Amino acid sequence: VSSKKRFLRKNTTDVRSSGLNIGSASIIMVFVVLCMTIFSVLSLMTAVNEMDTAEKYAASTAAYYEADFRAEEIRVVIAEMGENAFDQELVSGAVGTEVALRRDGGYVYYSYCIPAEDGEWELAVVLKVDESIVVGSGPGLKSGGSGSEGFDPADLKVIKWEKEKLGTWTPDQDITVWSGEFEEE
Amino acid sequence: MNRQRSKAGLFLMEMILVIFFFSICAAICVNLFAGAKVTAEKSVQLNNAVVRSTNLAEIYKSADGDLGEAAEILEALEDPAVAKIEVTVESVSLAQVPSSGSDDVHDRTTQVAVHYIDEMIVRLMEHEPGRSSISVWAETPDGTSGEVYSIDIRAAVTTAKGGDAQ
Repeated sequence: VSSKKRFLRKNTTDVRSSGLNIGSASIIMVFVVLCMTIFSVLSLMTAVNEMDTAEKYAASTAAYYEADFRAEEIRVVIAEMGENAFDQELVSGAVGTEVALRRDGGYVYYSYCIPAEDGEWELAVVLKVDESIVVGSGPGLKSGGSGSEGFDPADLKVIKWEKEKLGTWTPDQDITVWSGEFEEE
Repeated sequence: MNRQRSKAGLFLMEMILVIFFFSICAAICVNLFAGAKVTAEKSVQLNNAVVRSTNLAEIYKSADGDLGEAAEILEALEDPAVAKIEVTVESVSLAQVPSSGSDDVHDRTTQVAVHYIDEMIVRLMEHEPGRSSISVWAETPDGTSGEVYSIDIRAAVTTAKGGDAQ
């Protein structure tokens, strides 16, 4: 009988102690709070990085369309110059940027670059038009305002309309790890 | 008996403190989670705005600056369940269009508006032949409505008054 009583007493104390241990709630709370903090900070950092990337993408796209706008304006101005579009200096002066002109095989080629994003890249454009179209288009609007409207900008066929990186890009391939020595401030 | 009572009191005290600190920490963490959610939604919205405006810009350029043709291409491309295309044929006063933001001398314009199912509106407004702007309007995750993104676009069309590259 006494051994049975001892067994029962021992088991009862075990059950009671496992339910009311002082400090276990604090330990669980510390663990839960630690998990919550880590996950919330990680999710916030991910979201902030995503936002940063989205803003860079939006800025880059806006810069592209700014350069594209300018390039199209130049295309239209060249077309409006009519026969004057044969004169490289006149063309460059009218559009306000350096335009290279080349005549080859009955075609006129115009090439120019629009820098964007602080010279990080440029929009390189090469246009081609049949010489006969230019010749038959009259003196154009840029000859004192009394000329014709030049030729249709669509006749300036796009040979190249390309975003080109300026400078060389070197990818960062190293990871800074602890060298074994503390840096002196 | 007394020892057991003091143990229970100690446990109760600990539970009160745990609940107190936990509620403070949980409030801070929930705030961080909410901030992350709003920021993530904003970035998704900005990405969508950029993609949709780029899409419309290329359609406009391929249609050689013809708004009607651009609208037709859009109607053929966009899924009616996702986007509703609205072409305002008659002129719209720029002052009435919240997205205008332009100091253009023209006070009237025609526009193509694409209403997306996610409450995003992409507007293509022509200021003069060949010169247009695209603006994207949406309700931001923090509850305010405003312009999310805008670009100016140019199609290869001779303007009525003659192009000026300056």
